[in-house]
Amino acid sequence: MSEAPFYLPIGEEIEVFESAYQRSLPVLLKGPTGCGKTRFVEYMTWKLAPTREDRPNPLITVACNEDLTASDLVGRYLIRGDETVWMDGPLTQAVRTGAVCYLDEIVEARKDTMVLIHPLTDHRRILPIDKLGEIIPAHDDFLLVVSYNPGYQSVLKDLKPSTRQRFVTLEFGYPPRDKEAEIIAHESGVTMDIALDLAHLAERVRELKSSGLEEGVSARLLVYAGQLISLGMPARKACQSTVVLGLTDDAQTQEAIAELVASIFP
Amino acid sequence: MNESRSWRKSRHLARRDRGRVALEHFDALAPELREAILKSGDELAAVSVTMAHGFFAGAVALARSQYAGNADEWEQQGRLLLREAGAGRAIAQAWFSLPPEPLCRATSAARAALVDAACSLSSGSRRLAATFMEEIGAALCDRRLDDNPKSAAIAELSIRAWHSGCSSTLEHSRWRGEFLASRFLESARELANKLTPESVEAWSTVLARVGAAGRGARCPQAPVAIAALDPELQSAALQCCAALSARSPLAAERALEILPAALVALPQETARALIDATHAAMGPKDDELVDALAYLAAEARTLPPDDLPVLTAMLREVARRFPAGVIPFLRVIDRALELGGGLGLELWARRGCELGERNKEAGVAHFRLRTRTANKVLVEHSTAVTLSECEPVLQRYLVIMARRTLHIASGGGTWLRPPLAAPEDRSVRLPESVDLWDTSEENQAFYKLAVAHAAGRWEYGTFSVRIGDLGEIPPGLARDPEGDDIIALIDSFPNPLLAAGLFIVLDGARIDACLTREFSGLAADLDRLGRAYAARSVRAAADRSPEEIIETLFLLSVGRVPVSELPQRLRATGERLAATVARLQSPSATVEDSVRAMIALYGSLNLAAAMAQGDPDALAEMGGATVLDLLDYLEDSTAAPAIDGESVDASASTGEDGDGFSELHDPPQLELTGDEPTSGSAGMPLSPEELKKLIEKGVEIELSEARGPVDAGLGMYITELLGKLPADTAERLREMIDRGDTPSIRAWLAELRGKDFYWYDEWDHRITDYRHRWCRVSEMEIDGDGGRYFNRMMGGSADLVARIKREFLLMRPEQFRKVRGMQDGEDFDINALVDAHADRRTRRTPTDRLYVARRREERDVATLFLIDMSASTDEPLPGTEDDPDARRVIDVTKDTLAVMANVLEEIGDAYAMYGFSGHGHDGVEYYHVKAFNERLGPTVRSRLGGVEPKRSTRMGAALRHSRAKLAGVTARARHLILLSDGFPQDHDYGDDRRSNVYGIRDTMTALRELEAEGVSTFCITVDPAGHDYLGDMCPATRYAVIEDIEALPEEMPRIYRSVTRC
Repeated sequence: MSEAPFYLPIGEEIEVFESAYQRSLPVLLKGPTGCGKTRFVEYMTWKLAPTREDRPNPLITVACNEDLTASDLVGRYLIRGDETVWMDGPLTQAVRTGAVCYLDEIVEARKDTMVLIHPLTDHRRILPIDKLGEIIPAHDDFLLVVSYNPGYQSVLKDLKPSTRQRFVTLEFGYPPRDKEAEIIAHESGVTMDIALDLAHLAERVRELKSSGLEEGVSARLLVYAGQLISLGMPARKACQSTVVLGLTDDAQTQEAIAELVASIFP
Repeated sequence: MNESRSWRKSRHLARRDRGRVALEHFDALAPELREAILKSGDELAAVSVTMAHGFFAGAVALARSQYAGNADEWEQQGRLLLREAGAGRAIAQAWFSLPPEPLCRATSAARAALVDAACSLSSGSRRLAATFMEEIGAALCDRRLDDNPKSAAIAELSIRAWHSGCSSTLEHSRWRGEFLASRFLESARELANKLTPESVEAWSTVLARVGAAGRGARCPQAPVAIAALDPELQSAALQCCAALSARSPLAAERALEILPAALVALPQETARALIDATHAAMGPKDDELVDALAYLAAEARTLPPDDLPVLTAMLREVARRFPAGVIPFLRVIDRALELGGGLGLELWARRGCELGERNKEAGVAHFRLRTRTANKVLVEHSTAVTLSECEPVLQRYLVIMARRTLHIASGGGTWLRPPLAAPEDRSVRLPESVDLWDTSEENQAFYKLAVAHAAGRWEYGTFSVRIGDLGEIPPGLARDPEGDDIIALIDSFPNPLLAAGLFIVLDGARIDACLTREFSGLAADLDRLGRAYAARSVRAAADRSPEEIIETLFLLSVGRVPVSELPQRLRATGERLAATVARLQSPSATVEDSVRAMIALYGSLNLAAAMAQGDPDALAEMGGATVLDLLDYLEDSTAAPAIDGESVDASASTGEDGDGFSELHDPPQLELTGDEPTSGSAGMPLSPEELKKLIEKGVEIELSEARGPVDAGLGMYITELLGKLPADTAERLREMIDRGDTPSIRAWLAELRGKDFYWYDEWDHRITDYRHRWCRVSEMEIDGDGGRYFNRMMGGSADLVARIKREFLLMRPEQFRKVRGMQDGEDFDINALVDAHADRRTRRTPTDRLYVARRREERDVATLFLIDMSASTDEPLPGTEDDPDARRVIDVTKDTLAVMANVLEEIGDAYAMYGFSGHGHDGVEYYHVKAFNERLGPTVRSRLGGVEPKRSTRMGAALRHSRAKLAGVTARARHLILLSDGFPQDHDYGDDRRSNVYGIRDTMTALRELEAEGVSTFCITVDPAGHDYLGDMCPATRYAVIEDIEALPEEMPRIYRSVTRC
């Protein structure tokens, strides 16, 4: 990463993260989809862990899903011809090279992955690999960052307290209207007025979370809308293709959001 | 002079005009003529001096007129009456009393008919015959009988008709005959020149029949209104009443008044069709028929003229094909046209006829708009938008706009600015349908604006106002508010209707301005629809200053009409009020400003109304009266509250700039525009003393509710401006206002604000359709017992609860399932291994998915327990009837709920518990014990203890409401367990209370609706006879009959497990 990713701090998250990095404390990012968690990690990695020769990839991101097992993270033997070859998984790579390993939506992963994380996130900072019979001590620069979205999963997929208490926690919310507008304006190139309207739209749509909408509208979607607008597409149409249709398949919710779009954009 | 001619000297003759004139001119007559007159006079005087006087005056007049040649005939007819009619002195006397020239001008046939009729009647009643001669003779002389220029013979026909009517009345009505016949003849005074001969006959029939009904002497009023119709319609209408009177004389009597009101409001062809339809609909429900006519009469003028041809055709068709449908058809014509327009009406009526020909009940329900199909047929063909079709979207839009969870409830009336709801209700009342515009898009936009406005009240602080922070309300203007919110303040005014209306208009201006600023997309709609709405809603104000002020305010704020475009008569008021509205529209305006403006305006309207009543002349001076800020005035009573026109403008412009609102508190003042305007000022301010006096006067009148609030009508006026009330509601409100019944008006307002009602259709197997919006379900809170019951129960049943919990936990391994083909797992997947080995041997890349894993099945179950809380659950358990401490069915039910709640809380399944009962289709009660998102905390425990028997069992509506509850739950498996003690029963659940078929069929349909939405249902009853009806209602696997009621708490968890397969 040569250029700094654009990140607009909302609170004191940068300072907290820096301190955690200095003391190699694992970090847990909590917050809804599209509130800027991933961008924050990218920004912090750019700031704190620049690319080095022995660390060509300072940020290793794993998007967790329910089929993600421990061996997907650690590595596995692959069969090549008649041979089996060991291949490091992303977590092992990060532990070895001192990169930032970002496990996105950690609660989605299978429970056995937690077993791997526990020794890495306490004073031991080790990664046991049972298939190799090795225990790898983590590089000094290695930092584990995980994220999860408390509202999105069912209660059964909540993080266990024993896991949760191993992290320095940063809570992310959606940025306030003016900050979000600034982000949209920067990322999409629309005028501040339109960006403010888009942020206003997002703020209102997020109210629907209490009425069955699974996720609030993400900044990403707003940026897409902004980009379409900056290309000359009428605002209502741009929002229809991004925010309205992108958020939900429920026809009535779509219609309600479309009404909101029509209320905001003349 | 002959002694016998002393009659000529009688002072009675000279005193009468005719007599005096005759005496004056007598001497000028030829001697032989004089002699002849005197001779005849002598003869008549022998019978009656008065008759001789009449003859003398008549004979002299005739001799001097062009009809001198008819004198002999005239005299002979008089003598004939005297002779033929027995001792017909009174009749002959009446004949000679009639003015002779007009009598002789009539045709001889008419005169002969008159004489014949009198002779004929005299055989029955001489008095009546005399009355006939007086009344009908007078009508003939006044040319009232031959009013119709088309026929010269009409007079004769009319006389015969009146005679015939009189005779038949006399014959038909036995002892009352003479009384009725004389009333009949008296009515000729009003009707003789209006009724055609045919109508006379029909009128006599109605009169005779109505008069004969009942025990006392009764007589209908002369049908003057009917008589005013054109001859053809008049005759048809009277014949219709006559036909009605054959079966229902009293209904016919009402119809005499009501029918013409409906007929005059309709075009000829439609009126004719209405009469035909009325004929067709006559039968056992004549009273209802007349009610329907009365309703139509009230609404007839508001029917859209373009749709009348269709209406006429359909009226004829319904009358011809399905007469039983006419009465309900007449009752809903206006609503049907509103919903469906002409095209919808046509399709709906045709469909109703088809339905009615096959199934009478279904047809009647259709024409009453009670069925789902009827509503659908109408709505599909109109641009009207109904709340039910757009509610899901509006509900979401409301949440977005208000940024909190609010509910939509339907209410009568059409409002752009919904009635103000109490903050704790968190509900918004919207019209059931909107049909104000030509396109459905605009009608829908109307809904959208109403929702945005209601949401704006929450967004922009309407409900955050604290009365305590407002400062003192002018003493005497309102009583002390009973709460600290806006509703309490409004209710504290003697005329809460006016206070509410003013607040809605004033604060509405503020909210609309906020919405416009924040939602530029709404601005155009608000402007366009607001203008159009105001333009079509406004009824021109009465020529009273208070109404003009209200109308101006409405136009400025709702209609967004610039002052320059106001009607000329309102412009001066508009110039004053514009400043206030502009202030409220400024960005810095708050709800406190709206409240202050409302109080001030209320005060000044009060004052204006008081002045209007106290001294009409004063009203004229109040042309420039606008707004009085009482607060300001009372704060500084020494300052003369003067303000000139320039400063109003200045403050208005400050308002637009949006700064310095403190200045804006400088209020517009009440001024009287005197005859001599002072230079530099728009008017002459009242002195503080004058103001005080007037305020006191106004307040005194206002507060004396017993005498009726002075300006109560203002409340009605502003309510009508704000929304279109349904006719019956408006009428009810008007009556309350007329009575000066402020408590009822407050109750009406509270009802308008709305408790949360939910409407549901109900299946009627007899009409094989849903009854549309038939059941009204209200959500009720249960008064808890503080958790005493729950704690006692848990203490006593600890063993049972522990055992059931253990059973549930033992079942847990079932929650895991084996998953093959995993990359990692507890065991090898032998099949995969063999395949992989084979692949390797054939040099293909084998899979690495070689393991079997045990995966935990996530339970995602939501169950709603629906409890029958009918009165029958108050019964003691079977076999314990004599035990004074016997447990009741409801107690066992509560135990079961408590056990289930405890267990489910432990295993983490989502569950909700609701009870239901009620009385009648519009009184279904749905009791809230535990919602899905609540925990088993102290509140729920307390409510559980408060579950008690109530009234009836209307299961269908309760199930449908439960369906709505379950619709909001996202669990993969949703279940409903219905726990009852008998079959569904309610007082109007079907016509026959002894038959439970209606209830069972409805419940069955409701259960099917649930299944169709993916909710699995299970019915449990403790009624040993349950097999008889549950077998009809649901499949055998979906119900259980618990024979031993005491075992229910133990059985339920088992049933639950099998239902949810845990």
